[in-house]
Amino acid sequence: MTDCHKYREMISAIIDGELSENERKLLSDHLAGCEQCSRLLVELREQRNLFSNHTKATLPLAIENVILDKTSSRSPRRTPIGKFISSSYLIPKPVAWVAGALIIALAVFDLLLPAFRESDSSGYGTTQFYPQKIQKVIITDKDIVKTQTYSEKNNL
Amino acid sequence: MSLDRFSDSLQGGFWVARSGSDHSDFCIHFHENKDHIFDFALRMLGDKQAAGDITQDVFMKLFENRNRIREIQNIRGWLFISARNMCLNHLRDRRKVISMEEIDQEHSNDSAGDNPQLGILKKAMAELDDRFREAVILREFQGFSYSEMAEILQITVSAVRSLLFNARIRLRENYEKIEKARLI
Repeated sequence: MTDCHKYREMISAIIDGELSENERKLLSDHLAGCEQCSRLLVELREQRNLFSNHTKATLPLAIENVILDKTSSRSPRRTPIGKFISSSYLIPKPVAWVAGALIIALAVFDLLLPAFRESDSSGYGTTQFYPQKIQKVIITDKDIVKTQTYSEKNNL
Repeated sequence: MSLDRFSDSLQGGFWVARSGSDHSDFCIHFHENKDHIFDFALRMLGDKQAAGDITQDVFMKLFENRNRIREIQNIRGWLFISARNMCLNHLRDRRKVISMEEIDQEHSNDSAGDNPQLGILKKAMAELDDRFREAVILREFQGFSYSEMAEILQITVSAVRSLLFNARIRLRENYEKIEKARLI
C-alpha cells in the first residue's frame, strides 16, 4: 500500500472515463494488490450510481416568458430585404454609410431633374439644361428655279 | 486608434451586424440551455426564486452580448461561467448555509421519497463547500468533461481531477455521517 493517494485520485478519474491508457494500466496493477483502494472504487461507483436517479429541474414558464418578452421587445425589427442583405454580406460600417448616402443623393437628384425640365420649357426658369433652337425653313419657287438652272447648266 | 478600441471595433462596432447575432440566434441558445442553467443554479443555491433570477440575469447578459454570439466559441461554457460567478456572488452576499429541508423541497421531483439513499445524498450535497458542490454538480448533473470543467472553473485539468476526488471523499463522509444519525 505505497503512495495510495496518487492512485486514489486515479480511482475518481477512472469512474469518469478520464484516465489515459498508461494510467489505466498503473491503476489496474495497484488495485490487484491493494484491498483498500479496491473498496474505494466500489464505494465511489455506488455513490455515483445514486446520481443517475436524479431528474433535471426545468425553468418555470413564467420566468421563461419574462426573459423572452424582455429580449424580443428590445430587438430591432428587420425587414426581410434588410435581413437578406445583412445575412449575405459582412461590410465595414463606413462603407455602408457612404454607399447609403450616395444612393440617397442619386435618388434625390433623379426626383428633382424633371422639375428643372418643366420649369425651363414653361419659360419661368433661367437654367437651360437642354437649349432648343427652332428654325423655320421656307422653300420658295425661286429656290426651285435656281436648282433647275444649276442642273441644266451642268447637264445633269 | 488604441488597441482596445480596435479590438472593440472588430468585435462588432466596426462591422455591419449579420443576422447570426439577432434575436433568433439568442432564442436557439436560450431554449438549448435554459433548463441546464436553472438546474445548476438551483442545486448551487437551493432557492428556486434566486435560481430563477440568476437564470434571467445570465440570459439577459447573453442578450446584451448578442452581437458577439458568433465569436463565442463555446456558448454553453460561457453561460455556465456566468451562472457560476453569479451563484458564487449570490452565496457570498447571502452568507447563508443552505438548509437541507430547502434542498429537499426544491428537488421534490426527484424520487427521493421512494429512495432514502437519494435523500441522504442530497443532504450530503447541501453540506458540501461551494467549490466541492459546484464540481460535483458540473460533473454528475451536467455531465461536463474534465477539460470543460477546467474552462468553467478556470483551473487546470489536473486540478479538476484533484478537486473532484476530494469532493467525492467529502461527500462520502457527509453521507455516512447523515446515515448514522438517521439510524440512531
